[in-house]
Amino acid sequence: MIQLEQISKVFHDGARAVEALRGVDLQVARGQISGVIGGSGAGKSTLIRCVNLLERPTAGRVTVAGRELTALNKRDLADARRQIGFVSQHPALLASRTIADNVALPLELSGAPARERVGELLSLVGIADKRDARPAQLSGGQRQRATIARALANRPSVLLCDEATSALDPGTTRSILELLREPNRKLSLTILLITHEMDVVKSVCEEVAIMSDGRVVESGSPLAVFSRPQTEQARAFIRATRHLEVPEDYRARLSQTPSAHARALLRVELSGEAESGGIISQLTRALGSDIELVSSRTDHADGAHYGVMLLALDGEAHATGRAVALLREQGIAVEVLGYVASHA
Amino acid sequence: MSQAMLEALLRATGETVLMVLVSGAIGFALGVPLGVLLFVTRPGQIEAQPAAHAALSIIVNVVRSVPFIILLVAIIPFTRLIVGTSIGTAAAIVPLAVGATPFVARIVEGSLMEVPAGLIEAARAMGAHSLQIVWKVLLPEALPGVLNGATITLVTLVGYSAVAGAVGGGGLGDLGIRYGYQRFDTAVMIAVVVLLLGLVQLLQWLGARAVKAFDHRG
Repeated sequence: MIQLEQISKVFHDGARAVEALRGVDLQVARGQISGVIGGSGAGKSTLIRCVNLLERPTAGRVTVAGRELTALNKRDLADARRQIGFVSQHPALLASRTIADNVALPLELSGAPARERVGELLSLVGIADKRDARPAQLSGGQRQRATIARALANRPSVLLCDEATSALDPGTTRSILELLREPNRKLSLTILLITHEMDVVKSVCEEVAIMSDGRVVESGSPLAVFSRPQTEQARAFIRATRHLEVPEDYRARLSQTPSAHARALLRVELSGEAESGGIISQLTRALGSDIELVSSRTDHADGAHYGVMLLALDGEAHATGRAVALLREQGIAVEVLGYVASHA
Repeated sequence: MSQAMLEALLRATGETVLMVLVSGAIGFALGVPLGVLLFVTRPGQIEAQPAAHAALSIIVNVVRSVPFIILLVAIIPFTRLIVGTSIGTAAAIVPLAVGATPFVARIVEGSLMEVPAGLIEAARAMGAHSLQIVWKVLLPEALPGVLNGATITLVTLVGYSAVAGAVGGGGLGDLGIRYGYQRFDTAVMIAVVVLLLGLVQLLQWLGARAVKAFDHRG
């Protein structure tokens, strides 16, 4: 449904040229929800704005719903855009119009009857009671619902979401994502979304592409990509999102010398290994002593675990060695951060 | 004050109101499109034409930098061409409208620049053509700013219309100069100033009400 071929974009800032995109290929199949994720400055926002040509690529070809947008003239491009919904991070609603009239705007542009459709759309996004309100009277989440209703007004075949949930709290984010899933299921709407939040991708996307420095460095199912990243850039991005601070209390007592009076602090990285679910029990049995879970950021999907944990365990050299060996045997990455002296 | 003087004051007030409203209306009819053109041709805007923008901008600045009293005299041939005379209320309307047009254009351009770029982008993403963006997004969103500018324009025109009186334009300024100033008739001078003040107050009050009615920016 969406096909990007060798997209590059160079911005000129005075004499300096900044390469925002360096030959990106991306495809989104009809009815699919696909995500592009990456750190800030990776080029993902530029990429999605190249799909509807809000940003014209310096080189490359953009095809949406069988029409090659990069080959269209200004007028035909405007017509083609009516079939591509766009939701941006900051809801851009007209202050001069009521919510109902805002949602009616795309219908007015194409001369379609608005009244009935607007009622339908407002009910779909759950703000039917706000039809006569002004944008300034709505909360951020309600405003984003209104922009989604507006984006869906012309029954587009494609919806583009540029950090649509990034300015919202987690609860509102969940309800907005749920809202996007419905037209996707019922009308097989194709959705491409840009985000820096892994949770967003995990909860709605069937496909994900990780971007870094203007390139797609890895793509596939979120589970495969997040649990077994193949490239160093993808690993770096995932590690950055799974960064775990050693608690201050522990850091103050951390040394590099093993001791029977200290607890070893281990950073354990799970990447969907078969035995990872029962790892703490296994370690407890093998060492015959307690394992303390200091902190963790882990996820569970399709029977596999991935994420990072900080574990504290018996600090005697041979015990620590056994724990590390046991973990490594199962292919689990582990690093001994040091030894935490027990409180005197 | 004599009955005749009261009648003269009344007639002069009518002339001033006429000059301000007619020249204001013409100034808006020409200045709004010019302001829109100035805005949309700006570099990076929806109909970016940097060369045309620069040319328009220079023309506007030239007209704006000519002191009104000089403009008034300088365009007398043009005024004669249009109304057939260079004296009287109708003749004063021509330079007033010429002076108001670039003033309105800059006010409109400035108000359009206040419209959030995200709204223009959203309209482009929706498939709006440039003219639709102007009619459905830019002008309605800039309306509070434009109305505020309209108030400033009309108040400024009240002042300019008094200047036009100096060269026989009629209106309160003319009356004030001929009777109040040249004949040392303090009562007439005070009456003229009070009437002008009342007019300015009324315009300001109406303008503020209009802005409030159309401003939903919360």
